[in-house]
Amino acid sequence: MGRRGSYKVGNKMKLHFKLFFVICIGLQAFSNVLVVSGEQRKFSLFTEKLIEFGKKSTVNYEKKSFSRDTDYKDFETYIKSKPDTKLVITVDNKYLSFLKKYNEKNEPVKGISVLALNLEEQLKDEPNIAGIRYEPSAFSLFSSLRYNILPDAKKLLVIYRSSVLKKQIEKASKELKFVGGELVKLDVMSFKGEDLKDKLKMALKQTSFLEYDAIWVPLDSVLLSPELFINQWLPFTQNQEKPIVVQSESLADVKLNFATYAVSPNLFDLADQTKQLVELVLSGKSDIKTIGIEESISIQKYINTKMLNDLGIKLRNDLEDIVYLRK
Amino acid sequence: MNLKKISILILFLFLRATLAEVIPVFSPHLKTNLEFREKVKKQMQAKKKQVIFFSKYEEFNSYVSQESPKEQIRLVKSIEQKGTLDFLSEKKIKLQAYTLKERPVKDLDGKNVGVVKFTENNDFVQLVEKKFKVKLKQIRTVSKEENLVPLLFFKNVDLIFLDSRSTSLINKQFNINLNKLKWNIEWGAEALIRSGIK
Repeated sequence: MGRRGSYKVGNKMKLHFKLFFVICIGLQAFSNVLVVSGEQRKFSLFTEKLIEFGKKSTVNYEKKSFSRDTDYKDFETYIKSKPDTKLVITVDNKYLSFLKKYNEKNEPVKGISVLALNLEEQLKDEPNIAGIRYEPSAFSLFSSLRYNILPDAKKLLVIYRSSVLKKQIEKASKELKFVGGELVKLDVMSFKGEDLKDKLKMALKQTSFLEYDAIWVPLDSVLLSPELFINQWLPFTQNQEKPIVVQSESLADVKLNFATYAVSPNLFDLADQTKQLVELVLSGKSDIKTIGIEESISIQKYINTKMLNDLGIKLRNDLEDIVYLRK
Repeated sequence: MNLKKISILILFLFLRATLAEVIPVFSPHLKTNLEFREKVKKQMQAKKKQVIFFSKYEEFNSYVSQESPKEQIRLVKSIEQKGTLDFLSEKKIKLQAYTLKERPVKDLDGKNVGVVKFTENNDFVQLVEKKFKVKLKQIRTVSKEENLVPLLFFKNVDLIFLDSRSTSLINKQFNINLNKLKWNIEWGAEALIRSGIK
């Protein structure tokens, strides 16, 4: 074979290599990931960012926003209509419960749950779904509180129900210890009383005998029900001399006059974190079981400036990435 | 077209031209790199240009794709990169490996590493693997330095690479003592470049 012949063979090989490469990319592009959510505007930044990130990767993200009255049947029909799906990302608790039900009744689909509460309970014995916790960790909450508004804070009082948050509070206690803090626990369920209202009333009274630098009220829809919130929590806040910290910006709204400091997942970065998990799973570098439940790595911080002023805490002027809630 | 419309159009064009002079600057080490920030401000003021700083790559990238500025300042991998107009940092960024003292790391091979996102195609893994002749397990990126700590604390990674200038601030912020490891790598430099140059 002459020089020209070997040149042709070389070219052919190059062509075959290119074809192989294009086919590989084509196959990868079939890595379809469904992003299933409701119509909440609140979380749209997350889904939009995820779709945007997807445009720059080999993963094809498909967004599906269901209307409020969507039931499980609609969800099941939709998932079944997408047989190429490699992974489903569910946004909030409703769609996580739908995916769990789907996996019980059908050939299981891998999933990643985001922006859903109480994942510990929700993903118990769930082999096909991993998740990123909605509630920011006590580690992030306390470190950022201390860095941003309370530099001398050591003791964080948590008011909670052990019946639902026992494990999370134990975990939080270890996290605070690691960063030189201390979690002072006040379990509402340990108080005697006919109903939760009485128990909470007694627990809140008990706070005056305790030593703490701030109060943490974890997300618990029962303990923060509208009735308890108006009749118990709000009067309690009016006489408080220490800031209340929460894991939802809506509870730090100036109009509410409740929390001074709030943290919640940074939706922009949460989309990036989710994208990384998706890529790890699809590439086989990690699996759903190994991932389990991850923490929200990036948090958005909110300061209720009115309450901060009322408490006499000075706002530092060198803070970054803070949302200031004002009137 | 009457005179009023013409003046509005001229005013609009003038404003647009003025606004186009804003140069986006991406510097992930914004908190500690105040010197660099001041330097950029001075240099650009001399050129009668305004600057807008971004510490998160994705936010910087969003701005660049929406506004299509004529020039931008961002990190480039190599200081010999073709088409670069000017280098604003003489030194490369020294990224030092750290872990928590409770979790010592003796070997880089097969480890999960955390780093701040610098560019679209993060070639940090290749750089580390080539320099230290190891194979990393996975890389996790974050948008800003302080997010490397929870990543490390919650065992998403075994070690992090952090701008050595930021360590004291990070230690103070979290009340921890990051344990310095033996590996470090120089990565990129800030440069003024024209849009379109890769």
